Amino acid sequence: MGAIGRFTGLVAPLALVLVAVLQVWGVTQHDLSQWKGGGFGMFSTVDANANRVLDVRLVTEEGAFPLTPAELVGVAPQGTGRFVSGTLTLPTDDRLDRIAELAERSAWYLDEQGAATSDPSSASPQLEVQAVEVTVYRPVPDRADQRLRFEPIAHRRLESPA
Amino acid sequence: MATSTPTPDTPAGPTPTEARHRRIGELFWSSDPNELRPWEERFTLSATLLLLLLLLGSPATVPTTLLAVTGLVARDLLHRTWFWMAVAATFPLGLLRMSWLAWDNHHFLLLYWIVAIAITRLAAEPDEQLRRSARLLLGLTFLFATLWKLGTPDFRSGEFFAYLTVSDPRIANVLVALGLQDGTVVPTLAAELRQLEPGADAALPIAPGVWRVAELLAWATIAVEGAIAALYLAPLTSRWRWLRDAALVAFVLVTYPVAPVSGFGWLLVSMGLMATSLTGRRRTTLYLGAFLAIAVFTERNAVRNAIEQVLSLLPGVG
Repeated sequence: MGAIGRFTGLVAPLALVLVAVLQVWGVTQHDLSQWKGGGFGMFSTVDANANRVLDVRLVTEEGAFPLTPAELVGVAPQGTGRFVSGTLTLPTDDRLDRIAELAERSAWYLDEQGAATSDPSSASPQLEVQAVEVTVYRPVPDRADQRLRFEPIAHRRLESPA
Repeated sequence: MATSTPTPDTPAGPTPTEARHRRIGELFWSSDPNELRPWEERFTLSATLLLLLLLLGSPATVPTTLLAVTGLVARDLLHRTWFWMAVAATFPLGLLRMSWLAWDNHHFLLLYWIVAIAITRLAAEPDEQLRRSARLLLGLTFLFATLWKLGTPDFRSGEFFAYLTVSDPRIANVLVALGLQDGTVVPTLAAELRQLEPGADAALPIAPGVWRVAELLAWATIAVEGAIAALYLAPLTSRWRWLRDAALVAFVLVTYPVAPVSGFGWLLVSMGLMATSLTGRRRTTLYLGAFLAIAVFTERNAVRNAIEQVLSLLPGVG
């Protein structure tokens, strides 16, 4: 190894710096949760990926109906739960579009409480979905008002084909 | 272990105390500690803790698990370059089963540490290079952690810690015990968040006194983590290097009773052990003690169950 061997102790620290700098870029430019991505931002903010909220809404003539995560994952292929979790960590347009497509491709009904469900045994006719809106919110604590607010950080709307 | 006979060319045999320490050493780090130079002993202990971490607290695949078990049994393997190359080649397979977005920060750090061990074995002075890696990895980890905390408004203002007091039962229980908070706060907020309409906000029932404590804690954390970063990144003279060990072990003892991330703690201990300039029993006691303390802090339920099981087997107990 010779001269190169004298620098082997720097390889791993340099890798750490490179990944950490990329993580800063991901956080500042793409709303990557600073808890993730190898930049050691854990335990530094309430905005952990686990505290973010995904809102998926079916837009119809009768109004907008939110989908619960369980309903969404229920109609999706295996692995969608992990994909949704990844979307909360890094809410890119591509990821939001894929979630909207998943929701748009399925058939939806209203249950007795008026909530959207994929259960076809429901008494209601199938909803005519005009669009699907997907939004990711991040929590922001407000000391002055003693409130935990949720700010939208990413939003996509997918129109259904006519 | 071969016995030594005093001759004019060789020093007298070990004292009874030295002989006892060597026998203990045989159990923990080598079939013959006389053949190990001091840095090799340090490396062996550090590598042992790392292999235990791979077995107990990492997303290791079957090949990595088998290598870890083999390394713990056949201790000479710990000094073979191919062994560490094999660990470095197989460990990422476990990480790749997950999306990189799901990796925790200690998964990244564990990968760096394994790569550091493997690659520095190629150097003419592996000890010097690996110590440099350990020191820089520790310093940089704490540096980035400090920078994120300094750069995040909700951390500096104490809002993050205040939020933990109403959302994390472990921290809330301490405040309840001190009479600073009502025991119903955490479940009430959790229920409210579950029912919350997306985009709506929730009340944070945080007492004024808790806000002040949270702000103080935030700046204390920044000071402690910043100090550890500075101690590991600065080229200290040998007189002051013990400060690194003191700061790191103090951090571990204060952090891990409330942060349930044993993998991160054990990794810091493994790297701290490699970077230390302490020697002999002080080194072993300090770092093995820290390793065990993390196990007790983070796996207290498992430890309690194990003790109860052992006690139940004893006649006349339970």
